[in-house]
Amino acid sequence: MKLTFFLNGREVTCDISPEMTLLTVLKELLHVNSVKRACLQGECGACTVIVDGDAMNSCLILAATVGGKHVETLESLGDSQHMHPLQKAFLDTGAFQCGFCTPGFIMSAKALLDKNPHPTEEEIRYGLSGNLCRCTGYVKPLEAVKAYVAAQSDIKVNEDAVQAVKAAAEQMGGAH
Amino acid sequence: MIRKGRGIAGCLYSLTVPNAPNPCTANVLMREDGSVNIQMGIVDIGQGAQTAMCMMAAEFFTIPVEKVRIYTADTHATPYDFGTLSSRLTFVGGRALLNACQQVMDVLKSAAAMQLHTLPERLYCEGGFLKDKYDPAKMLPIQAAAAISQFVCRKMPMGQGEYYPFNVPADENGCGEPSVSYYYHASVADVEVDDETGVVTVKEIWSAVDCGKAINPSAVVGQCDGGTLQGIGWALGEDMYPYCTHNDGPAPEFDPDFRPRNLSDYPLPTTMDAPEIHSMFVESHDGEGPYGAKAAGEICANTAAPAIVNAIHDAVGVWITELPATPDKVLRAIREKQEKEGA
Repeated sequence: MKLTFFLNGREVTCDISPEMTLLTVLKELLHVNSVKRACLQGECGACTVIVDGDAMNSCLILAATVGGKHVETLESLGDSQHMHPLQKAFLDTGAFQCGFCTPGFIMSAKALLDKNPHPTEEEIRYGLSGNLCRCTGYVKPLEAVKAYVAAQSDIKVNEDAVQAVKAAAEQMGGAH
Repeated sequence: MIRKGRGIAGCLYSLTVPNAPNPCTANVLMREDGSVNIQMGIVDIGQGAQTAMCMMAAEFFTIPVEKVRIYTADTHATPYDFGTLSSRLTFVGGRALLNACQQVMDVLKSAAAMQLHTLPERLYCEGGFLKDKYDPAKMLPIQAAAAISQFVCRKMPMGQGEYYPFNVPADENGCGEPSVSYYYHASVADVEVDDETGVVTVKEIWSAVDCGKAINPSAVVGQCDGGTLQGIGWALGEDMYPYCTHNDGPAPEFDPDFRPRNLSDYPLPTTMDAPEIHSMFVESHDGEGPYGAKAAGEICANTAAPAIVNAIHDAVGVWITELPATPDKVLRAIREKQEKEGA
């Protein structure tokens, strides 16, 4: 059967059989490398992708159900030359050891932060609880997300400052 | 009632495979643009051995780490290595690598000495340059030395290094020197035990490793974090048993497959279970290791579980002698103790 959906903003069409999961389609038909095949039971979160804004285990979704939907994988964020700030935060914190779980972690974090840009510690922990990691003890991935949230808040403050400066400049201009 | 306790545990670990010859070999080549290629048989299963090797080679030639490339774990193209075990890669692999690098450096120095009209013994490497100790005017970029030795001296700047760690096999009394060096780890755990339900919660845990010189400090802390949480998982939930569990029917027979088979039956700690982990490393200098480094990976999973069991004893006064310390075992031990005290 024909399946058409949006992968990282681009419309793709592929020929699938009805029992294929989204993971199989992404990995074997579309050659998306960041999605990892691990437990195939929805336990580990290594295959996490974002479907219409929600982080989901692609190993549990039948591909036929994503017709017309928007699917995001790690490739949508950026590559080594143009990194998304979230990827940069993971890299700067050193939030991986073997790196197998990292794409899943970043996609879960992105889904969380898209919905809630300023999560608390507890919300971050809950948001990442679907991803298993054996190497990092979750210390540095949590640190990375916290660092990203803090950096984004800093940018907000700076924008406010820019607005204030602009307003002041306008006032001065008006005085002239 | 919630009872608090604190426990401590420590251990030592051998750096090389005890009582076995476990050599490592390395091929190193410097190209004429100053970049370095390394071929080694080591297998990086995620512990960061490749990064550590690249960092050591970059340190040796005083070049940026981006200019070092490593090819590993291909029997078609890489030389022999004993394997990823017994915490040996940074130590044994690093020594083999530095031996190979030294041979490359000897070739580079003789080429540079010819070009600079000096002696190879007077040259040293700093900031990507070969410099004369006694004449600051005489210096040559390391890539120029590589190009000169390759195209003018007709000698490739390449080296083959090997390292056999020393050990004395145990005699009939069990006396010997199993490993050339050892490294150490210790944990302190703060736990809370509910003596009505038997539930054990780790509130905070401190974990410190003596890794020699930390080649990649961020990765050392990461290994320490991960090993500690792994130890907590073993202490409190993760269990494996080689028997089939039948709810009905005949008594369980031996099953060569381990149970549980799936992650759904095997309670790995998630972000919601992870306590506050404080990891740190204590640097020391090992005379034998590359740049004084020892190791950092395997040992970190060892002391969390005994520290937690000690903390449970501190909290409620019972010894858990079989892991994992699940609520049923803890509660049974508490009940037995209460009965004994009542009687």
